[in-house]
Amino acid sequence: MSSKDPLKSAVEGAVKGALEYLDDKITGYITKLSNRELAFIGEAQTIKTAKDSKNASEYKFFKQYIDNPNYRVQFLLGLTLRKFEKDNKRLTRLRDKILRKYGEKGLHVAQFVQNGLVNNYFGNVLETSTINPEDLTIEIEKLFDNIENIVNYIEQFDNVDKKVKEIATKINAFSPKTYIICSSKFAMEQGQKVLKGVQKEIQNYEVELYKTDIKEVYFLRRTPPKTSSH
Amino acid sequence: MTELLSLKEAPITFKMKLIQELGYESDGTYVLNKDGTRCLDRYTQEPIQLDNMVILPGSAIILDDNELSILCYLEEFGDVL
Repeated sequence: MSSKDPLKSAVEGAVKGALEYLDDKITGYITKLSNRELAFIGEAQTIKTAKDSKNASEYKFFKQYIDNPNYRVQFLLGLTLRKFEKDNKRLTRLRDKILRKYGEKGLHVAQFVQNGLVNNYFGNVLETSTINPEDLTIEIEKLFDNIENIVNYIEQFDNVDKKVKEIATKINAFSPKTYIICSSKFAMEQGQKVLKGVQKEIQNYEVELYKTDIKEVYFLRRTPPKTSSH
Repeated sequence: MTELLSLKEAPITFKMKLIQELGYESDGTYVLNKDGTRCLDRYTQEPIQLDNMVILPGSAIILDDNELSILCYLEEFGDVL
């Protein structure tokens, strides 16, 4: 069986299973498997989703600047999470798997990509300056290495005061050029409260809001300190 | 191009025979190593169930059918699918 469209082939394989799953075909299948001519898959959709993420223009652009293979996979997982945003079951299942494999930091890298923040974060840099590839590689690595210090995801039942203290402490300690507060769906109101609290605790940051129907992302960008006019 | 064949509708007897040919066993639910321990997904380190396995080229790697494992596989072995 050969096909120009492997996904179609996979789906067809499931339909005409009775013909394909004869025991006497197994030896032939093993040979093909060894020769990398055959793969046994599960749901065709799983492969399609993975391949779609790999073929996404966003990934194709950024992968050339990401050396760390774990970060490349986390980037791809972020794109996949984005696809699952309207399918809570698949979203939660994948998020749990990312958390178990990569820990909170890895999940936060994936969520950073999921929320389209890589584009926003680097968009301004790419538009306004000629950055060489080596610098962008270093910047992305630095961003992902320090993700815990520059982005915070607000959950629906988070304690606002605790979050405000946590974020303000990080901003005042590290003075990041950009700090991001992200909330989605039922947590958006909490996100607004956290932002208001944080603004009272920090100086020299301006806020930009990126908003969609299901998420609010606040970019807190560092501004030059105000000097007195004496 | 690699031919893809879905195991989703395959009878359990076919799957068991297939993994036996590859040097594995099964208790009817999980894929087992020769020593009887559960075979773990290379990337998630979770036991692989017979009804949710994939077998991919590259020394016939058996994985759990989920996006994370597939993406890790594609990252390690390239776009072979």
